Amino acid sequence: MSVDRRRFLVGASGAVLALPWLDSLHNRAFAQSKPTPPKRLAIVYFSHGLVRTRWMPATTGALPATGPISELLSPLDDLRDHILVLSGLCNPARHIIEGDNHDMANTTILTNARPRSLAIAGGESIDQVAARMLVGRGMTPSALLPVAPGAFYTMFFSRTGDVVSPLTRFSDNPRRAAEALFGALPTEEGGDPAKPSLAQRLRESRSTMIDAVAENLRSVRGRLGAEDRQRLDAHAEHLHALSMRYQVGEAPEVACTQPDYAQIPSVEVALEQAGTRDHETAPAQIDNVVRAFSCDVTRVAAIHFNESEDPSFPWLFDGSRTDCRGSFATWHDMIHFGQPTGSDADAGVANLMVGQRFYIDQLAHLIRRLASTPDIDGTSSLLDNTLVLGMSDFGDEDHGSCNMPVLLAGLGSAIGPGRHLSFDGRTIGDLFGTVLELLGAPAGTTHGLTGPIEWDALENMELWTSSQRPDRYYNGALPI
Amino acid sequence: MNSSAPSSRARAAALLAPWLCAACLAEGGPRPVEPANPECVVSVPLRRITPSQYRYAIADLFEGQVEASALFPEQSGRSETGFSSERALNTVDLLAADQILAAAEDVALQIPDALPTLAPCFGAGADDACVDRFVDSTASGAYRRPVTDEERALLRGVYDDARADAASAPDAAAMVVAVVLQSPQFLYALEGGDGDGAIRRLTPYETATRLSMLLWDSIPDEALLSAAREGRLDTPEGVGVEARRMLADPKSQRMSRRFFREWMRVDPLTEASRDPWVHPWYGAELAESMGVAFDTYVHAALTEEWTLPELLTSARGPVDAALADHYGVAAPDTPWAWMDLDPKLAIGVMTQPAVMASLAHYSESSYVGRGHFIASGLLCRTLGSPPANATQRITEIQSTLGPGTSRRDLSRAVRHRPECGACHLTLDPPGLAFEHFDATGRWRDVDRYGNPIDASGEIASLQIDFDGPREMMEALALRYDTRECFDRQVFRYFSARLETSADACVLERMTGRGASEDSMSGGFMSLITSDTFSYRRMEAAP
Repeated sequence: MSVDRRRFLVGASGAVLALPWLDSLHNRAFAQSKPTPPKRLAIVYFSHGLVRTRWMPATTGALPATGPISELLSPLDDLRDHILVLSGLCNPARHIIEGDNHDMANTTILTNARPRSLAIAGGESIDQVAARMLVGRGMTPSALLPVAPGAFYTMFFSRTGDVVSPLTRFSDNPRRAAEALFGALPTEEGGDPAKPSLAQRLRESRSTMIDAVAENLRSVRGRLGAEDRQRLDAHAEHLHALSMRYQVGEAPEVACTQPDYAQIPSVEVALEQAGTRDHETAPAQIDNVVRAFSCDVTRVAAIHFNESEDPSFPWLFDGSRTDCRGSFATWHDMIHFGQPTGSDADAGVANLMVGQRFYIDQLAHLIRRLASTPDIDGTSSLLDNTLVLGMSDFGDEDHGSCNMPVLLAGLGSAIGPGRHLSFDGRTIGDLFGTVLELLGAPAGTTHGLTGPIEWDALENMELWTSSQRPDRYYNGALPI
Repeated sequence: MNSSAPSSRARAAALLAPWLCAACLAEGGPRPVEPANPECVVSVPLRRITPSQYRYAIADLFEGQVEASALFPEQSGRSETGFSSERALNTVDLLAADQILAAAEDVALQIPDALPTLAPCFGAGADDACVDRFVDSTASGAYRRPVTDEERALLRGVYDDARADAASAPDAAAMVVAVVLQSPQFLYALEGGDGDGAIRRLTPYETATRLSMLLWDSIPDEALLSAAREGRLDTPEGVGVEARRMLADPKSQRMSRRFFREWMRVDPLTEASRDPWVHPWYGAELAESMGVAFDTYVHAALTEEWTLPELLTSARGPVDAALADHYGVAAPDTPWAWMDLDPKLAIGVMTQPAVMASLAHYSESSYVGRGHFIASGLLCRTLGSPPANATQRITEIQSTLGPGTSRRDLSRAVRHRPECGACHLTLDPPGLAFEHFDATGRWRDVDRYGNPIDASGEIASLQIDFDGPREMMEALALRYDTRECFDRQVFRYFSARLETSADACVLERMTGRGASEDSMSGGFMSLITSDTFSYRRMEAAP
């Protein structure tokens, strides 16, 4: 076993107050040739969708050159040359088995798979697939960064349909998340920074260590009874998958040291207060994503607004946790009934607009930060090499499964930015195929279900509201 | 940690002695290969260490110098037996394998700081012999037997590769630990036994692991490994000697706590476990005292050779200031004291406040939960699952009765429904016997609505009529069914599965043991000294 590992070159002296890691980035003293920046994926996920009549641009084709893109998307106005707005996509997988519409949406919206049961997905989420494609040796394959503690729901699943690995789920406290994300990097002071820390070594040796464990397993299985042997063999299969997960790719040399954690907000939010401090945690978690990309400790990250059931946005409503609900009992009720087609239309919409715009503000913040941060080649920006996917579980009004708001940004001109495209009758499977192709997968790569949709066999059709019925779960990449 | 724990160097020295292969000569002559009672040899599924065993194993292996990782996979779901060792709760899927990896890294990160204690020679240059000793002591401790040459070479390779890659000696040692703690030899009780037959005698080290996992919820100590190496586990008497030593060791508290808590479904109680409006006296202090009292009670019962009737009817109990208030007695002079309590409100382990509270809801007692424990936990009756809409149906019935209805009247209404009566006729009467004990286990004369409590009833299948819980428990305590069921629980705890007809031999042996072994620990001992414990039936593929 020999560890083939990138070296961390640290030339930084003092820390620049605002962006300490960038300073060292520009001092890659020993870099012989400029490294090629890797591709990356950043997902911004929020629940409950957006009010359709307020987020969808009025026309398809080029976005208006001036004025708001739409009422809800106007925080993205000055980024309009970077974004592609997609409408019309449907999530038919949500309707396959009988169950609560939230559960069904959450288990399918990023997996496009038939749920195994109410809260157990039938496959992995798109971030996990991208992570396998993009991860470099010794990296965290993907980083799920929640902006609030706990969650009623998760959308991020591993291949077994369980929630994603604890090694890739981070704290909702941005400082604690940063400590875990960057803890393996060398420190600025003390020790020989050219030598990797133990945490770094362990991380980079995962694959070889797992192989050693597998060898141990092979050596002991022979004497066991047949049933016991089968159980160890199942274990061995998972070790193999793990070894693959931690093995792929090579990382370019990046000079980064651990950040000054004291500069990163430490926000502890009790479970029952979830969602009350997103305005502090979300920008800080976004900074973590940007730092993680520029230090190349991960290439896939997700910002998850996971206060999904009942966000309250108190900082937007004079500090109150209940004002956002207007005359409704809960935010969730307002989503159902406060939309323009509902019974109490406009009373709720005004408040929905205030809250939902916060998500778009944060998405815009991420795009801006990526655009203003140089990538490891020193010439392109992180945004040039990162695909940003903004997404939500519900579309239409009232928890519909078509017309989810989907926003793409980044990767230079590859996404054909500056437009709004509507794809009636197309699916999230088509979207995910597109995403994977944009990240470098061969044409025709699929994610989740692909076959014909047997509409008569679907058990959960109550909330199917679209007049369009796609024929297949995957119809090919979207012609963007 | 146990201050008398031997250092890993001592452990290494003991294990480095030549390991005679299982079937060969040990002191005192050849090991018996054939079981005296082959029909008593049963199959025991491969057990993976539980989260609790993991925590204790890390504590014991590293002498308390490192902390077990919170990332080790937690259990979810409910087992058939109620015991956490059950296979379905401890499978390794991709997520669990990843969590085991994360936990191993977590522990490995602490190794460099712990090395000065664990292996002082690392401070003096870590020569080859030093590294070998560390590799051997860590691996043999974790694998619970001497390492093979192949295993040693693999781990030494991990160390040498890390060193070649400019890792410091302590960092390289940490990487060895990271591999050891993910290895199947650590994670599973691997039982290949001797020979190739369908019935195999366990190797002495496999027997030692059975003993330590059963009695300490952890890995063997040096003395137990020595006993294995020196052939002292080759006879039932020898196994018995070690088992008695282990039961007398404070580490057996881990076992009594786990066995009795899992059997009786005693949950960890916290301040938030109970409704403060209904139980204003309940708080964090009382919750903690309840847990300590239960653990103390059952450990005394097990190690002081109580009989099962004593466990089920004793009016003695550990009391501290918080519990004195609970029982309505004067606080003891010492922080904790065993007291003779009012036999009306102290009826063996069942009325330990932690039990009554665990078999209860947030603001109300649970006669169904308590009755369910009597029926399934104490009498081993097999009950069907409640229908999917059971809770809804009970709510419906409740709404027809109006607020303030007594639990007995509710039960009566439920039992009248044919679809409910089948089970509730069995469950409810023994449960209602405990209605005097509220959701915190405190005695009450009337229920929370002011209804008088009628604690009389009958257990029809056993023809037991009783007036109050003490009469019921005294009658149950003497029944053969109760004793047989307790022994079955011990067997389930050991075998990590439900018993089948193929296990009749050992169960009969346990329940039919002589009067001199009548204590509960005698039940454990009769299992431990049987062929069931030292042999294993090899399973064919399912």
